[in-house]
Amino acid sequence: MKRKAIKISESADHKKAIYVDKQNAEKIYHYINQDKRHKNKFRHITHIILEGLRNTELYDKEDIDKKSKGVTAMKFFKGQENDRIYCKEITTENKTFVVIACELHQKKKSKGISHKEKNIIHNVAEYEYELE
Amino acid sequence: MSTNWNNKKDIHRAFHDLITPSSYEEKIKDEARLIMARFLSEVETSYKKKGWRRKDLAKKIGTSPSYITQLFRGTKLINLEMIAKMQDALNIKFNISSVDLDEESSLEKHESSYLNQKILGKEGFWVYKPFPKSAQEDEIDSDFSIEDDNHLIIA
Repeated sequence: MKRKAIKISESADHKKAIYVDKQNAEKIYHYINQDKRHKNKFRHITHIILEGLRNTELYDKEDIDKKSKGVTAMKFFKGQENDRIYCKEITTENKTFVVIACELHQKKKSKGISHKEKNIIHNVAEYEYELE
Repeated sequence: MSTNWNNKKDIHRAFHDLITPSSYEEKIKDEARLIMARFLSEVETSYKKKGWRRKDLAKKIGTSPSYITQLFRGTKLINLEMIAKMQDALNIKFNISSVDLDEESSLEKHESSYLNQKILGKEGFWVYKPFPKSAQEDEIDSDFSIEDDNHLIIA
């Protein structure tokens, strides 16, 4: 069954948009809303995505293998909490580039990819979405 | 106001509030970080193209890799001298341009009202767009001073 995603922001030219997974929206919201530091970081990452800027320190592909195509991660406080919001990138029929914030993963411990993280990334890669 | 997490409008509103700066000062800080991110996006593309790592860039410009990392994370703001050093080390040149947002929004309104009028009339329609500015007008004034112009945007 397709998951649902809700639009939360878009670029001025409407060519790029950020959505959130409806099922995980509450969890992701409370994570970001916990303090000003998290909110500032999230705003900065959304601006970078919507302007199409390159900054692999904050947002990057997580294509660890063939099964993880289209999966990316918003990176919160690398070297400290090291939290991630795993995302999925898609392009709609009308050519809008969409990033969907899918799964929150807190306290990524290892520098490499753990078994747990691999599972999340593979799951996200398989998610299919209906954009609301 | 509590959020109904099954309701599309509620979710949209909750996140909209999250990503809207809460004050003018916050908005300006966001803009400053974004301007820096525009520079750094070009810097990252350029040093990766050269096959460098971040520590190579740091060495070339005489700073520490951790300082560069802090810039990329948005925890520190870059200064113009550091931008000049990066430009020099990478042998690139930043092109600067600006967009008049007032002009842009009035153009959108004009086009939108024209289209609405034609669509309402149930006629086929042509879309007229203003002629592009001449090439001369588009050229960047080489004598510009960053200090003299406080609304520059980096391409």
